[in-house]
Amino acid sequence: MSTSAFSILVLCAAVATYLTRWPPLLLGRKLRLPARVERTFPYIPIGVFAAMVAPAIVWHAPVSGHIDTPFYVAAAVSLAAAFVTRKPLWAMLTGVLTIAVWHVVR
Amino acid sequence: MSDEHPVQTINAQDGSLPSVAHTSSAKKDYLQAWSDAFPLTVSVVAYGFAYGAIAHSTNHLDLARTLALSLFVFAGASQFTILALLHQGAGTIAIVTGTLLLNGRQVLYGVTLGPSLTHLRARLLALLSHGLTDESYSVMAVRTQKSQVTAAYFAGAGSAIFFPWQVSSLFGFIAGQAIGDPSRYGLDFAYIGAFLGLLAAQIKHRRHLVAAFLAAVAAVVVDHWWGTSAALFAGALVSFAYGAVFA
Repeated sequence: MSTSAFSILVLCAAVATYLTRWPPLLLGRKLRLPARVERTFPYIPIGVFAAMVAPAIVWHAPVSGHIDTPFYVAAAVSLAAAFVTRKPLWAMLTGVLTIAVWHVVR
Repeated sequence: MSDEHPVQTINAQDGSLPSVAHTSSAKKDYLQAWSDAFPLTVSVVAYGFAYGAIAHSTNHLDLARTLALSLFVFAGASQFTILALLHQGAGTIAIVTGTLLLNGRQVLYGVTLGPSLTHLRARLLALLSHGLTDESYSVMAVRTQKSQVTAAYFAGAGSAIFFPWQVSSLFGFIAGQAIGDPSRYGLDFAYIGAFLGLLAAQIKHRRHLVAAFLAAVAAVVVDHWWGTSAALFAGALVSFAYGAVFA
């Protein structure tokens, strides 16, 4: 791909991405929501975070094509750490370390 | 710390605080955002390495092209998809359409964060919004429940993802094939772990747990047929609907 063709590609992809960033923020800023709706807002990140992890865990085996034992052990360890500590850092570290240690030991 | 609470003399003219107090709290918010985003920064670095390495070793992009995507598009999942589509020889229109669909979830982030950002000017948001990602949205959404998302906090949340993404793209490019498969070190798990932690921290009530479970089921089903962005919309919608009815 030539430099000019690639530049056009980057420009278009950048514009397409930016259009999902700035205009929605401006739109959201103008929204005047009923108090009841605003009170329910904390449920949105709960849904987003659950949706971020659940498919990644459930569809992990079908996508990778084999049962990845350390991955599921790490998910269980991380989930436990998440609920015990309530700290993203510990949930992340315990999960990553589980997989790293698994591969070193084996 | 003594510099956190400087003597606050109100400006008689417009009632604003003097600039010393303003600068100090802005700096504090900026650093707080970096601190809140830290686990996500780690996972972003792992992905940035993988992105740079694949761009170099599989796609044979040069450094300028690899970094141009990171700087101007700055969207992890999209950049991986762009690499895959380029590799398959897809055209610009297909690639841009894919990018748009994949980033559709950011519309949800913007619209739901927007009501908490009415104090920020539109032109300032034009700049800050380039830093809006899954990760910076996450820390800001949590922040809105405890405190205000100031311009400095937004800038911090955005830069805690933006700069590590650039640097790790660069180092991934340099390391190239030497990095190999990042899943071997468990690095691809970092984001799952970080989001599990974010999720757990949000669950303060049995109703929240039920909402999370329903959202997870909806997302798993929708993801299978319509992909990541649709899954996030479905999860958010199901959780919100449950909250609206039962909370």
